[in-house]
Amino acid sequence: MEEKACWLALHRVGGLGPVKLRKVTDYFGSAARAWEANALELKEVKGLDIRTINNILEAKKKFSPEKELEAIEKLGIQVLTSNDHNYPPNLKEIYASPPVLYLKGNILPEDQKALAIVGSRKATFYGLRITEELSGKLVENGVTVVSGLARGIDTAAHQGALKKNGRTIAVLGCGLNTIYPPENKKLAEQIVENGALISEFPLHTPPEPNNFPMRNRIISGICLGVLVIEAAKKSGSLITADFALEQGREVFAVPGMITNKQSEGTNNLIKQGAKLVQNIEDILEELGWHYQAEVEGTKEDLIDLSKQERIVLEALNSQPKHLDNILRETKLSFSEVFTALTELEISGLVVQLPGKLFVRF
Amino acid sequence: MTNEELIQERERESSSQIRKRVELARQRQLERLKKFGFYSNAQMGSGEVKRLCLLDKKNKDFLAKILEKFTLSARAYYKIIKVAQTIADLAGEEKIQNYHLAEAVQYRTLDRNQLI
Repeated sequence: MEEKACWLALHRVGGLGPVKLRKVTDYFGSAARAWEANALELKEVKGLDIRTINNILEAKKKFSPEKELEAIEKLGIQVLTSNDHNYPPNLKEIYASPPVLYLKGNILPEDQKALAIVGSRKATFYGLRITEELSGKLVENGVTVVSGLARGIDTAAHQGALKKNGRTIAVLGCGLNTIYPPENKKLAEQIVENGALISEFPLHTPPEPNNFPMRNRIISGICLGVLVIEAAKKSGSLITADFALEQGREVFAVPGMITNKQSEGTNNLIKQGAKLVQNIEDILEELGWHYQAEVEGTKEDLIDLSKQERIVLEALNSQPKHLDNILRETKLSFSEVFTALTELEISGLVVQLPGKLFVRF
Repeated sequence: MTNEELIQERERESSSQIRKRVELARQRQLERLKKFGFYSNAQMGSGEVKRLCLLDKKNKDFLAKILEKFTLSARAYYKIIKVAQTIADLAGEEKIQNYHLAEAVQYRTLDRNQLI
């Protein structure tokens, strides 16, 4: 029987996690031989308990590996095992590396130069903004951005990469038949076109809370480093950072205000020795990747600004500022400030937040 | 800001001055609208807006940019022109300028699309 189909079948057996599964296939020399082994032979494998053996024997009665594999491939989904050339090489090195991966899209050799960007689902506007920016600059430097398709920072990381026509990979905490959160369906389709959706879980697995820590080990495992942008004190992103350390990956963190809850986790990481990141050079340098200077000038240089627009823009920064303060600081008239703000918003240099607050984008 | 600055800032235009300005604006609007039986810009429908609030090419190009950026509805479009007309009336200017439109846009925050 085909080796890949047998990997797929064994992977479905309850109680056979990545480590035990590897033990069984190593013992028999191949997944096919392991799948075809009888009860007596299975009992010879050290560390394989009777319940798991029974599960394997049960599965053999019900499961038809080749039919299953065929059905999955018909959906445009590839099944990868570590023998496949497009199985992420970095992932082979980690402890409990996933024996089987489901993949939609494609993985290229250059995706080895990958960095994970993770962070809070409830990010601040500032966090989202710099995520998009850093992600965009990373892909411009030939880095593949890996994240988890969650709300907040993850979404901004994928979007930032896609906006610059870069490559991005999303590792899901559910089967590939479900996109979670549902509002990211369209984003997921774009990722398939420009990278891949990856999951270790069988197609119909719902997004259960237990899946996410397991998923996080893949996010860090595919990459050579993990950048945490905003994370509260107890955040899943910190689990990813822990995995990264365990797997010998670099951990990077963006500092935040000490009064900001979403920066508590990241500031702590820095305290513990994660590299503080202010720009992508901080990352590229650490990983020994070459930095290509920006080709285009800053956004401001591309657009002709009026005198008033320039004054208003200079009064703004990444901290939201109220209209009244802008008026006071610029000493411009109401209508001058309003006109300037509208023009700047249209050019995408300024964003208005709820409450008549403005930030430079 | 010090209290002094606060007081100075308030002294820019007195209430009686503003009142005069508002009355003049009302007067302009009444003259423009009385043949329709209206007395304020808010009462105009889209038909009246098209006939009375004349926009030149520069205004229209600007509005097109605004519509695209903020994905506003057709109703919001006429609202912005009406508010811009009122801002022009208050400023004592005959014709709507781009900065009137820009100011009007700033008063519409709720129907903005989203953050990023």
